[in-house]
Parts: sequence; C-alpha cells; structure tokens
Amino acid sequence: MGSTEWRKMAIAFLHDPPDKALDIRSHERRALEWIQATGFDANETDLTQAKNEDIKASTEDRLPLPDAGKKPNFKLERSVSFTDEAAPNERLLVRHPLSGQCRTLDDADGYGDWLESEPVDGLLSMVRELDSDEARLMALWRFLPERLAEIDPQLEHLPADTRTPDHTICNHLDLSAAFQMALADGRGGALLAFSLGPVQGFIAQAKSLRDLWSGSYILSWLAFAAMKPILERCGPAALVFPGLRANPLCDRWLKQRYPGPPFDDLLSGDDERKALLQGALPNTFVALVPAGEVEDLNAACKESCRKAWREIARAVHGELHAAWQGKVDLEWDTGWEEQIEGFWDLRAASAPLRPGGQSSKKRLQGYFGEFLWGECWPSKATDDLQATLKKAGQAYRERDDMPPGSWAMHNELLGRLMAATKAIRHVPPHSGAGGDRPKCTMMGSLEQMGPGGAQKQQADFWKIVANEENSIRGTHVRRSERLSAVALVKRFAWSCFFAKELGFEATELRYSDTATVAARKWFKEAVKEAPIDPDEIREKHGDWSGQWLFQDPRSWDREADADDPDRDPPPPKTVRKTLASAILSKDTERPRPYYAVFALDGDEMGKWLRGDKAPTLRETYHPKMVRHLESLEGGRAAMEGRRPLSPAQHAAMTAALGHFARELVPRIVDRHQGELVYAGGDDALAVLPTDEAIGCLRELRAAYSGRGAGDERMPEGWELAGDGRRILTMMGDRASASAGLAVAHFKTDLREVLDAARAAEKLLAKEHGRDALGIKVLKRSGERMDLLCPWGFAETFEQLVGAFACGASDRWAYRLRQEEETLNALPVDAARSALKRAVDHGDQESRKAIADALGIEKSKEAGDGVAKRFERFRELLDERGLGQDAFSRFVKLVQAASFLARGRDDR
Amino acid sequence: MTKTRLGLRLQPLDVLFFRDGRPFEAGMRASGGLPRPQTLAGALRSHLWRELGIDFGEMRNALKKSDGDVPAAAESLLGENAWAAGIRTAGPWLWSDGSKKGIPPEGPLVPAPADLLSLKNEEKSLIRAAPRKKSPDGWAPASAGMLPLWHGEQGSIEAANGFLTSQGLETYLAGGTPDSKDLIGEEALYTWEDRTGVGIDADRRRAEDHMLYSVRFLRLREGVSLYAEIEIPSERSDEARSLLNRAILPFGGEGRRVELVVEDEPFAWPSPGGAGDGALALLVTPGIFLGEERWRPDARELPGIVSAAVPGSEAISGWDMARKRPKPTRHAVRAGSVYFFEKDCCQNQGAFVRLCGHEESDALGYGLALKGVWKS
Repeated sequence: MGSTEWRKMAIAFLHDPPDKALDIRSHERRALEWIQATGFDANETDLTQAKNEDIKASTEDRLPLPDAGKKPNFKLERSVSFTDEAAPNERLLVRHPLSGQCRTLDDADGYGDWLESEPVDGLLSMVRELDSDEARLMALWRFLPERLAEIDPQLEHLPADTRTPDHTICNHLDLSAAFQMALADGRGGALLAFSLGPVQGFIAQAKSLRDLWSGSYILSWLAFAAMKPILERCGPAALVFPGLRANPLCDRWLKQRYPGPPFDDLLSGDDERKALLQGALPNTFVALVPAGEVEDLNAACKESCRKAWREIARAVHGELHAAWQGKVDLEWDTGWEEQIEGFWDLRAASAPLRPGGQSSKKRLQGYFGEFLWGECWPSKATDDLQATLKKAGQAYRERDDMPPGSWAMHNELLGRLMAATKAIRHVPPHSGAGGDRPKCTMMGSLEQMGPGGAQKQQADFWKIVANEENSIRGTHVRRSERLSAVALVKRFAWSCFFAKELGFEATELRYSDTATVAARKWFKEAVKEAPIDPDEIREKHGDWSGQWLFQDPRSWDREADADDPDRDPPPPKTVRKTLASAILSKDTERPRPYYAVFALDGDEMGKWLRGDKAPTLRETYHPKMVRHLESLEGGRAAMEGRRPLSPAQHAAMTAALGHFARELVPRIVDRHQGELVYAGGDDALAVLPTDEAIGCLRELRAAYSGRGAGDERMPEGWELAGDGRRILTMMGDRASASAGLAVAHFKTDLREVLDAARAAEKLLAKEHGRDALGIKVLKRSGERMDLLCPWGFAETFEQLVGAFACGASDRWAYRLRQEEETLNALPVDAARSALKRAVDHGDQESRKAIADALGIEKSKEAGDGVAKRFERFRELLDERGLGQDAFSRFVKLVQAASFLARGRDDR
Repeated sequence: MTKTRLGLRLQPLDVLFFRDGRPFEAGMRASGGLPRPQTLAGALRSHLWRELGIDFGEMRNALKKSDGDVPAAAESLLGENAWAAGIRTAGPWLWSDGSKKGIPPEGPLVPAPADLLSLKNEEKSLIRAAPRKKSPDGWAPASAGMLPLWHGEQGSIEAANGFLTSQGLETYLAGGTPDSKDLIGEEALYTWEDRTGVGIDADRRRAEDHMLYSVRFLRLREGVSLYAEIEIPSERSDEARSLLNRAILPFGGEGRRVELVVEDEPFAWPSPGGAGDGALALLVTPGIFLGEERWRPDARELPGIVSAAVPGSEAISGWDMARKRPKPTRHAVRAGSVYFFEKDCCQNQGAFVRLCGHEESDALGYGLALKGVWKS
C-alpha cells in the first residue's frame, strides 16, 4: 500500500476528534487540529474527503434521527448535548452497546484540552517523529485509546454520537479507517472470513499440559500469521474479529516492524512478556478488505499461515536431526514432509458489501431475501421510524447505500458462504512412504517417525530418542512415547522455535504438570515453615516433576523403573531430603492427586452476530431522543423493535471478548492458582486445583457479562482493568456463557479429561438451557458422575465446597443418595424435610461448618438452610424443564462438592 | 455367476470394543467407536474360512505368496470352497427391532446425511441443504463448477447428528425432508461404558505396578443390534446360511462376541424413483478414495458431481499379516457423505452403488452408497 493510502486512512481515523461529544459545534476545527498535531499535512479539503458519503454511510450506525435544522431554526429538542447542565440526570450519559444499560460518566478533570495533556502530547510528539505514514497510523491506532484513558479512564468511552450513545468514538474511528481502506478502490468493500483447522484434532491431542499449551499456542501463532497480509495491506482496524489492539502477538509484530518509540515500550514489562506466552487468538478471523483484492488476500493469508507452520516444523526438524545424528538411523524422518504439509485445513470465504455492484436498499433487500430467507431484512423498526420522521417533516435525506441491518445480513451471508465452503471437509493425504509404521501415541491417525521394518528397530530408536541426553533444552520424549512429525513439532516447538523467536530462555516456560496443579494447596498449607516452591526448585536444581509428590521417596534411589516408562527421573539428590520429609510428614495430609480442567464458551454467539439479541431502539437512543421520537405519531411502536446490528456494535462485541480473554481470564485464573492454557474469542481453557474451580468459574462467568469487578461505581456491563486505569466494556447482562468442568486424577489420560470437559460444556450445559456449568467427575476407580449446576446455584455450590473443606461431613449426602428414587417422586416438602433432618442429625462440627459457609448465623439452622438451597436449586431446574429429578441432582452435587473439597478418593 | 444377499443380525452377547489405531498403553484410555466395515469383513471371513477348514498357520505362508492379498491367499487354501474367498460384505449398521418403547421401528439405522441440518429450536426441526444453481457473490468453489450447498432457513442451525430410520431414509432418498422423529440420537441406541482395568502379572498372579488402564466399551441398548449383509454365489447360499446362522463369533477387540442370525430376507433398501433436480449418492459406509481429490470418487470414473457434503474423515488402518506390520493409513470420508449429480449418477451393483472403485475396498464394504434424488 502506498503512503497516500496510509495517510488517507490516518485522516479517516482522526476525522472526528476523540472529544467530539463534548462540543459538537467545533468538532471539525478540532479534528483538523488533531490531524495536524500528528504531523500529517492536511487541510479542510482532506477532512471533507475523509468524511465522504461512503465512509459515513458505512460507519455511522444509520439509525433514523430527526433533522435538527440549522441556525436560526435549530431545534434544541431534536438534539442532545452531552454536557447539558440543564439536564443533570441525563448529562454525560452513555449506553452499553449490547445491553442498552445506561451509565453516567463522572465529571472528569480531563475534560480540557487533551492535545495539551501529557499522555496525548507525548504520544503525538513521538508519532510526528515517525518516518512513515504507515507507522503513524499504526501508532495512533495502537496507543490513542489507552493514552486517553491515562488522562481519565472514562474518556475512551465517550460516544461517537450523543443521540445514540451506544457506541464509542474509538470504535467509530477504527471503523472509519477500516472503511476508508476497504472502499478506496471504488468497488465496494468485502468481508473476508478465514478459518484454520483442525482445532480439537490438534490441541486436544496432548499428553501433558505443556503439549496442550504448545498446541494452543501454535494455533494462535498460525492464526496471527494468516492475519499478517491483512494487517500489512489494510491496516489493523480491518480486523473485525478478533480485535488486535493490545494483543501480545500483534504488539510484537508492531515492535519488530517499527523499531523505536513509541513501539519499543511494548512487551517490556514482566507481565507483558508473560502475556506473550498465552495463546490468545481464535482459529478464525473476519476482516474488512477491498472487494477487488479478496482473491489475492485470501491466497496471501493461506500462504503466510503455511509458511509460519513450515518455519516451526523446519526448526524442530533441524534441531532433532542435529541432536540425534549419529545415534539413530538417518531415515528416521521418512514421511515428515507429507505429514507437515498435509495437516492443516485452511479455508476462506468472502462476501462483497455491494453484491453485483449494487448497494441500493431495495436491491440489497432483494438480494438477501434471495440468498438468506424471505423476510430476513432486520430493519422494519428503523424503516417505521424513518417513516415517522418523514411524516413529521423531520427526516434527513435517507441514505440508501448501507441501510441499517445490512451489516448483520452481510455477516450472515458470509457465515453461510463459509459453511458452504466447509461442506466438504478436509481429508488428509493417505500415508505414503513410511506408512507401514505404527501409529503415533499422541495423534493416533498419523504414523510415528523412526525407522520402518522390525518392531525391535523401532523400539531401539525410541529408546535412544527418549534418553535424557537427547533432550533439547529440557524437552524430551518419554520412554512410552512414539511420536509423529506433527506431534514432535508440538512437543519441541517451544525449545526449538518459540523460545528463540520470542526472546526467552527455554527454561522460562514454566508450565506446571497436572500433578503439580493438583497439589498446589499442599505446597502452601502442608509445609508452612518452609513452603516448597516448584519454580524455585526447578531454578536452583534444574528440574521439577509433580510426580515426585506421589511417589515413595525410597524409590528415588532405585534405577529407572522399567515397568513405568512414563515415570520421570527422580528428583535431584540435593532436594530429596526436603521433599521426602514434607511428603512423609505425619503432621500434614498427603498432596491431592485430583485436578480440574474447565472449558468455557460464550452462548449463542450466532444470535448476537445476527442482531437477534440486540437491545431495542428504546434502549439505544439517548433518553431525550427517545422522548422526542416517541412523541411523534407511530414513534412509540417503532421503538419496540430491535436495533439492527451495526459495525460499531460488532466492534464492541469483539472488544468485549478481547477484554475478557486478555485482561480478565488470566487474572482470575491466576488468582485461583490455575494454569491458563488458552483464552481467546469467547473461549477459555484452564487447569485448576479442585477446590478453586467453582470459585474461579463463578468469577469468570460474572466477568464475562461485566459484573465481577466488585466496584460499586461500575454498573453491570463494564469492568475495571487490573491496574484500575481502564474501564472495559464487557458483553453485558444479556449475554451468557456456559462451562464444562472435568475433575480427574493426574494420571488419567489428559485427552480423556479434555474430552470430558468439552462434553460437559456441550452436552450437559449447552444442551440443558445454556448459562450453566456442566461437571464430569472421572474417578480413578472408574466411577463417573455427570452434573448440571445452573450459574444461579454456583454460589451455593462453592459454599458447600467451602463447608466440606472446613471439615463438614458428607455422610448425610451418601445416606440420602440411597433414598433418592423415593425422594424424587415425593412432593418437594418431603424432600426438604429429609434434607433438613439429614443435615441436622450430623455432628455439631459439620453443622457449624455448613452454617458458616452458607452464611447462616446458628448451627442449628444448617439443615433448614440446606433445604432452602435445595428449593432454589429445584426452581432453577424447573425453569429448564429438569425439575423432576432435582433431588437426585442436588444430592449428587453435594457429593461432588465434597469430592472437590477433598481432591482425593479416600474420605 | 449370480449372487445372493444374505441379511445378518449381529446380536452382541456383551459390551463390544472397537478401538482406533492408536497404540494402547498403561495410563491411557483406549477410545472405542462403532465397528467399521473391515472389522465385519474380518470377522465373517475368519468364521467362514475356519468353518471351511482353513488352517490359519498355513494362511501366513499363503499370504506371503500372494503378496498380502488376503482373498487370493484364502482361495489358494480353500480348494472347492474357493467361493468363500471372494465374499463381499456390507455394513455393519445399527438395527432396531422396534420391540421397545423409545426405540425406532424395526429396520437399519444409517448415519444422518451430511446435508441434513437441524434447527436449534425446541422441535429440532430438520431441513435439507441443496445445491444452489445461482450462487451468491463471493462463492469460491473447491473445484471449478461446483455449486454451493445452500439452505434458506432463518435461525441457528447445526448438523443433524444421529441416525436415520428406514422411514427417514426412504423420505430422504425420494428428495423429501425426514421428520425429526426419524433422526435418532446415539443416546437412544447405545452408550459408552468406561471400564478401568489393571494389568496382571501372570507369573506372580498379582496386579502389575503402573498398569492401570481404561477402555471405552460400546453397549447397545435393549432392542438394538447390528445388521450386515454378505454376498454369496447363489448356488452356495444354503451352505453359507447354515454356516452362519446361530454362529457365535468374536467381534472387535477384548474377546467380545456376537451371535449371528441369518434373516429370512435381507432388508429391502429403499430405491425411490421419482423426479428431482438431480441425483444423489448417500454413502452408508465410509468411502476410501485414492484419487487426487480424496473427498470424492475418482472424477474420471464418476463425473458430474455438482456439489457434495462431506462431514469429515476417519483414519483406517489395519494389520498386514504378511509383512507383520501396520497397513498404511487411508483416510476414509465418513458415512453420511452425500454427492450430488446434475443428472443420474451411476448404476447399482446389487442393493448399493459402489463408489470406491477398487476391489479391496469394495470387497470389504467401504464406499457403499444408496441412490436418491435432490430437490432445490
């Protein structure tokens, strides 16, 4: 892209000043001041061009608005002044883009001249020094919102339009830049969707948490690689989903591409470096691109993704080859290229915004009606409202080229085109050379590497490979493993490629194993005088394995156990004594061997993207505008309709999911001593100690909607960022998420545990009304439990875990389990009485622990408290049509709470 | 030589186990699935050949001579019973005897066609996608000239997972949309049973250290069994019937067994006439295609595909007895894949169209399809 295009995009990005809402009348003058302050040579003509009809049509949310006229006939009642002193209750009012919830911004000190403020002035002075328009635009896009937030966290939430304050000026400016680029060729823009798979077939085929992380990280890395041609050609705002601002991989790309200030500060802090190691990009993206370049970009994205995969694979192959040379058969890698080249399935689809070169409303309606469904046009309400305004003589000239609702329809059509593209799924290449070797122990559909021929030769090969001296910077193949090319890449990607590429020491990736996660409580609580710190031991002694905690220390002096090829080498001699005395101490309980994995996923994202869950028009306009529009004939009825999905709402959704994944999930998981594997899009996957799992998931669910900050100033729908300096828009209270939790012994095959977590999410939670937690308990004995916990009951569930952790006995639940069939069939009062009786017959210590956990003052009321919780649980199940066996479900949940508190089989 | 189809019911005597190709070790779960055509073919061939007197010790030598060609090796040992070397099998499919409330009416159940979709509403209504002759702007086909598979329904939609009853199959092949009650979820037909086991040291007669493992078994619901067919030279059909009927034979892994019952008549697979906008072929067993485009039958042998729904693939391997090593992996497109043709597609060979186009896969029962029509 030439400099002129970047310049035009930058001017479009600043065509409205960020403080536009504070003073509409002078905003054009101020826009010019902002543009000039960034070092762009621009005049009023440039600004007018940047505000051309096409861009306006596309980026404005195009809701019908009354024409307020011009002086001297300006009608005050048809406009909204954001800082109206005369209406203190409606002053500084914004709405949540996805729930319509109102929020009034505080009067901020920063409502002055922002160009003079240190954060903005500091940024702009650096921007002026940059040597290309491309770098300037990138710097503005990346840093401006957070610099505004530095002045005051509320400033980046100022609305683009005070009359429809449901989208921010920052969203609007991003979109203006994106549309400027997409429409520049005069052929109209297009939406381009890209997808990379197989996801579960790659990530979930893992034998350790480190493999799981590696798979997830490679996927994020490849997804970002696929986005690069879009970034380079169309700019960062072109990515409609996911949002890339503050994404660590994008920050790294910016830092490498534009050395020096202001980018050199990116990823410089410890936390930011750590964030770089989190898989945070989904396997799909949607971008807004010039229609004339779709095919080229499609090919470039695929090629960039393939190239990135080959680079990783080549680095791994090169190091393995060098490390194993002279020790193994040189033909060990037969079939490597075939497996690497044939593994990924890359798909792209595109939908032009002006199909057939036309974009009039009538034609678009006809077009969508033909390819979607007959009455698909979602903007009847806005059509009615426009008619109302026309009738009242207050309508602007109706723009015809990007009518409300068309964005949702374009997205729907894009989704269907992608589905049609994926109707024929990828079929991997059949095995060629080396195809007669046994299958990979990690990824069963691929052949293992190593020599063909006799089994003994193969066994000898893997024995040599698994030898400690053939490990690469701490990463090794276990004695029981036989890996394919793809599995080897996954295993060694960190030590052979990412560590170097990202500037880390190989030892800096401290991914705990499942045994260590399971035992986390033990480290802190069991050896209070001298807590054991796995990271410290790894650092000082060069090794750590959670397996040691569950072994007999006397076995450490023996030679490697040939019967247990998965057994890690014993601990270094220097720490054996400390570890042994901690493990064998009679004062403390042994470490817990069970851990929990959760998969969390947003509900009904398709409906959100179609606008089926959008707020009504009444919940979209400023209250003053609502009053005015409802005063017109037909206005009240029209306001009942839903707001058609706009690009800005879409951007808000993308941003909310980004905030959740990037800012909140890592913080919450970390607080609960978990290991986050992946958080991106509306998905998260993490591993936790059992007794932390429910608390963690409750917080995550609350944060998803934006009600977890615990800050009373934050209304529902927003959250404070970790440092308290940013206010984050979240999905709002109408959005929900479901989660699946699998609880398993650390020795259980991780693939089975991951399957269980996904199944708990899909089959238990999503299939039973969504907005719930599905739980699968996989006991080592083979016993399985499937449970459903609506989020409305999760607090009680967590409290019960707490009660059992504090010593409450669960015998009453086991007794009741024997009577469950009878009690299911009896009226609710009988079940309540049985519960009350059972709890009250327990010992005083149990009753007290239960009462304390449930917030009940007197121990003697513990039984009644549990019975009341059951009644609530039953109501929640009734709402889902599952009330008939509520008693059984409740008692099983109580047993599960006890198991989560114990984290072990014995009671 | 005329052939007779025999319909077989396979009644499990216990849970069953059909594992994937992944090596299985302590600490791992052997994940099972439904039986594949080659499992059926292997079980029936072994049973018949054993009954007809093949010495499996000699079979190994014969296989070496025949370069791993199993039917050829068997033929060399079967003498006058050589007919049994070239038997073709079909299936297995789930079968409902319709005897219990809550299970489908009597008949086979085939994997849901991949163009069948389910609305995410309470009724879970089914819809069908069909090739769309006028494509929306932006359509980029996988192969030149291919049409997008399209539907015009509103709302959230997902693939219709499960199995189609014989009634649903008939409606589908005639170009109609089956009723949602004709799509049966797997939970109504079978469950998975996870069992944990421990390795036993035979010498010391005690549990071996670190040898805990778990296996996922298939348990068919009451009233549900398996159905298969076998193609026999007509003049030997009585003999085959007597060898097979009421036989108890190992089926799948872990030494689990089934009892065979030869039906009086094989199931009459629907073969609807009637007009549509084109023909379709619905794969009722996985299909292995060795051409350049692995998702479809070879275009030179089966031209005219205008659209397709291929829901994925599964890795197929096996053990090469001659070479004592695994067979190379082939990726078979899943049963339920649908190929749409502008006009008529191909001729039946018996009850089915055989799409693989190579003898080994045909004999094992891969790539069996039923013909139908589609309507836009």
